[in-house]
Amino acid sequence: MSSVAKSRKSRSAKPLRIVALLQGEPDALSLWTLQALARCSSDLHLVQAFGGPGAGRIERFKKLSKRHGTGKTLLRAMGSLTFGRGFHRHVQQQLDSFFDVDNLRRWRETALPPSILVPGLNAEETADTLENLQPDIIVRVSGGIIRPHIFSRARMATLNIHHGMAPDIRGMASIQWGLVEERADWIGATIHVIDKGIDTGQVLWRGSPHLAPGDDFAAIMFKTHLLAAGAMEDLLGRLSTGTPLEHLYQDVSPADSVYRSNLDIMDWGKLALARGYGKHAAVTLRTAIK
Amino acid sequence: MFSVLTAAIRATGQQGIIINYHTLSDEDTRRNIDTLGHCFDFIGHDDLPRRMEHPSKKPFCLMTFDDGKKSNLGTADILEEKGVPAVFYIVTDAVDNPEPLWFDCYGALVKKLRGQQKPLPAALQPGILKQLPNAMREQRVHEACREHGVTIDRDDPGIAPMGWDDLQGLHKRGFCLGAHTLRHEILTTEQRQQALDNVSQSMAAIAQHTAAPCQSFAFPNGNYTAQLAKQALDCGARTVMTTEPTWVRPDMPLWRLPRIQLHAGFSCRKIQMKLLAAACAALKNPDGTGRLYRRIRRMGG
Repeated sequence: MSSVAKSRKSRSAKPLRIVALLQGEPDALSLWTLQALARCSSDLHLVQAFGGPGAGRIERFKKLSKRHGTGKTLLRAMGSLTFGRGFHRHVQQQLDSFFDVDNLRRWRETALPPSILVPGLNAEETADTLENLQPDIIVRVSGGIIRPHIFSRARMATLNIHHGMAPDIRGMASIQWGLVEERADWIGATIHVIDKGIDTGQVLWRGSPHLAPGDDFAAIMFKTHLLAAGAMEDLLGRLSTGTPLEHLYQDVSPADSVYRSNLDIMDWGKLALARGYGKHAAVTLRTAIK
Repeated sequence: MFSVLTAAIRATGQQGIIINYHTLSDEDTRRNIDTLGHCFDFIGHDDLPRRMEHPSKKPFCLMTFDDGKKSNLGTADILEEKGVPAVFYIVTDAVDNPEPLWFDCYGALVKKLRGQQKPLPAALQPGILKQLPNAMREQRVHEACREHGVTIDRDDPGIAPMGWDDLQGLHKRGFCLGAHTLRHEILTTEQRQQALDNVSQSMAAIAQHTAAPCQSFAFPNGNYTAQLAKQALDCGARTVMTTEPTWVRPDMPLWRLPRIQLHAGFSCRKIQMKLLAAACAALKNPDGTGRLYRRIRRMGG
């Protein structure tokens, strides 16, 4: 037996050690991802942060102002505080019902080990915890940007589900941007390796949901996440049976890679005009009936 | 009065109607035939394209029945007696595996919870359930049925499906059989490739058991995309049915035909009112998209 075959056999005998990184209490999407991870490995650990992603609000505002300008940052903050808050609350309620969040919470209590609590995902305590756990794979289930001293702790890779077709569209709210800018090709999800950039790592999988007339943002998000969690389960299954990570790399070279941050107050207006949070986003409707 | 109104509607270029039923009692069947027979010519599936192209004095009416339940056999006897053609859309896997479909279980569940005056949880609201893929929806409904001790009467002719012998009999008697997916999946909630395969497999099952091409496909719950409709055409369908609640116009594509839903227990007046409302495009589509169909028509999709 060759050494490669031997090493594959020994790996397949032992489940992958997976660490799921969570920020705060898991929502319906996160719980659904955790369920997919639990199906892949009996050696699943949860590391849950209860502090912010790292920087405080004022510090974050200063940093963003420096990068994007004070005006733009203020407009974004206004957008988040006004339209954004109501929008996210509505979408969250819908997703809770789609995924049956009460049932998922009951499942979590009985099926998952207790979380290891840390002050923040990029905190030193998190790095120490990961050092002790020695994970094969880290999956960022929720939270902000993960720093190198965290994502480098995985033996194989740290993975992320990006809701958007990376690297074509990177950053926050990619699906909303797809609706605002009428780019159906941005609507979808990507599983990629986390690296120093934002959604720039090696792509392992990309997929777009089956868009239909009448799909609103919550329905698109639901379809997309079902697809992505299923793909994550499939990828981890292949890794656990010895497929080298490099064999899963997808060759995606976009003509143009766009980065978008959060929507500002004007963009929320555009989203409303595009019926992005109504019953039928124009771009999904056109995609579905043409 | 109703015949004057239908003549007026006919003058606006609306050629006729396609009615979407599920199950009807004998009494309902006779009432519907009598009510519609005054003002409409009953036509068969094969006459539809011709009647759309070449209008006649009287508007046409094509009757269609979804889901292929056993009670449709009694309805077929009355239709045959009255000389009324019809199309039956069959959920093909349900014929081979007569496990109740999700909505049969759901109906019993809702009835039981209402009887116990318990509220329906958010995750079991119809608007939510209809957005789920079929496997997830069936699992959720079956679990809730188990939890609440709901039992299904599998011999109820409104729940039990017709067998292939029954369906071959209908086909020999001149009724048209169309496909209605494998397990009544709402195809737009399934993954794209699975949905496309579902269309072709259910149409192939009908063709195999009737030894004739499957000429029509109807979308469960009415939800469709152009790609799915084209798939049905590629598999040999001449017509594809939605639930857009309007009259048929000559410029409508055969791959997206509207159907007006009528239910058991509708009185003559209610049937007439619904048909008049449909002529004004005032009805909501039962597929959950409201009056979006008006916008789709404007977009020329």
